[in-house]
Amino acid sequence: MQNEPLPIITVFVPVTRNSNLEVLDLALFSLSGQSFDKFEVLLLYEFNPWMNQEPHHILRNYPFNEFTISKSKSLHIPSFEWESLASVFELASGDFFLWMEENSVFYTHALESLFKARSRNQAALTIAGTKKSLLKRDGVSKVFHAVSKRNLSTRSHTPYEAFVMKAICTSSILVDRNQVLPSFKWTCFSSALSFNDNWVLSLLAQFKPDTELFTIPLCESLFFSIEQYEDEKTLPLFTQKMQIPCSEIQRLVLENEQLRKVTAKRTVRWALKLSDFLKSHPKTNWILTNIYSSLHKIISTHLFSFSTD
Amino acid sequence: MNSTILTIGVLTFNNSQSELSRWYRSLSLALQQLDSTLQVRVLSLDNGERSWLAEQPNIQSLKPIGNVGFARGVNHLMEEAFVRQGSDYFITCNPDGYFHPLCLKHLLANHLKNPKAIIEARIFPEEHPKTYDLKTGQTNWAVGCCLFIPKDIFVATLGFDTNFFLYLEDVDFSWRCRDLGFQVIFSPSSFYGHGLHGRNEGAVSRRSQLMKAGAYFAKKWNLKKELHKLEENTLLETERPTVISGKFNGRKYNEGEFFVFSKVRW
Repeated sequence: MQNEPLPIITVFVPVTRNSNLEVLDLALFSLSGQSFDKFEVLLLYEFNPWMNQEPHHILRNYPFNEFTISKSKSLHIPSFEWESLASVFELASGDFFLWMEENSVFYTHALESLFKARSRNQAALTIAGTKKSLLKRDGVSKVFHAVSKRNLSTRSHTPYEAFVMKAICTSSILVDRNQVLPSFKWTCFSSALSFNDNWVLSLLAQFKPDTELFTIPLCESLFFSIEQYEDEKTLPLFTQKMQIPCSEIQRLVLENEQLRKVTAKRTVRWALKLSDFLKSHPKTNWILTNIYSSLHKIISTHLFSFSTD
Repeated sequence: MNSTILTIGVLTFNNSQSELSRWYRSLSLALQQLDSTLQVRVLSLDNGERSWLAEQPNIQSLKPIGNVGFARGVNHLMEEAFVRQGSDYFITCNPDGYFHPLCLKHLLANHLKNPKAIIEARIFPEEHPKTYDLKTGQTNWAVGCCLFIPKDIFVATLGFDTNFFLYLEDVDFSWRCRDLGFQVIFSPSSFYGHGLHGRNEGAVSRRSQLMKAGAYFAKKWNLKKELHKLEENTLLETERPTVISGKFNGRKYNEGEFFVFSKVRW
């Protein structure tokens, strides 16, 4: 039927062999309660006979809406790599994409807020904040409890920094298909990074996001490990000696830094000046990422004048 | 043979059709998980305009009694359920939320373990930060967003204190239950979806309601220091609450900041 309405947002939900199905269930539960109902769910999972159709079963449990009931798709894909997924993106009906991490849950107004913000800003990417939630599983009942939640401040950070700090996550980024896909260039910054991370970095490298909702958490990332929960730089960008992924992101970091210098008081927790740092660590062959790693969040314009080997 | 009767009660106040149909769809799924010998009834009461739920065939819509507030409205539903229809259990739930498919099943299972308790569902994802015992589920007070109440507790308490119009009636109800020797239990596996978005709409009016409820609560539970602070608030100047004599000891239960009343997890 030609006049059949199409969903506006396509939500991709990946399911890997390591997926925690109870958390996936909560992710889908949170989707089923969205105040915005013009979305479809595309469940993507690796073909694993041991999974015994469980994701399908979970998906059918939920009364999403007219689109997701009638048109939701579950696709087997061999791996979460761009080559496998490029065609999947083409199968999506929505004008907007949202890649939902399997450990994420949405607040009831998440899709509505992202969509409304996009309607105002017309940006290729619309980014909202993320809250982190630490879960603890009861050994006997197997029930998991939320023992802590935290909201990382993104106020003085660029989207790239916020992403590295895990103050935003893949699930909190709404992607405008028509602005992004035609010119999108997939970059695998590192095979040490997950597909999600490479996807977001590729997006941030090429498109300027709108950050109206940047400081407003619309979803929660659920963690069972206190290390992951507390770590503000879980991405191996630092530890794997990765450089800031591309010149565009470097430019954004620089721009943001300069803006901060001009407009904001210097509240940064930079306890150590770069010059002092170098005095106390007299290595001659410091590379950019080592400095970056050691200084954590310190991003100085001076930093970029050093050799990167 | 008389079967056990569970009544689900929902009090609406000008909720949108999409909100109510979401609640209704989720209820249908959650009911499928229950034992078929259990008899389930659904009652609705509109505090505002006639709602979409009132037109649904499987829901008994009670004759409206005006905008009487949360406590009086839910009591009206409970009286219908327990007194006139002979229910054994009642679950009050906010219509802007939605059930996890296993929510009701887990609430009932929890009741079997804790028959002398009111049982609070786990609000999801924006869970209240108050603490609870990870092993027993015991908690300081129960959020009234989705709450399981057995008949004997209703009989003992006569439900919520109708002097509360909005806010804090659930804390008061929980503490009265505890005063009477009942337990207040949090069920971590009973998820009830609910958002806090839109809470800023009509913020002044809501805040005024909250302050009024707070002042009444503090007076009732003999929380004098807290009452003094609240009385300094300008929002109370025009409309001070009717006071009943303070025979209750709030110090016995209060473990945290006023309006939270509990230690918090975050």
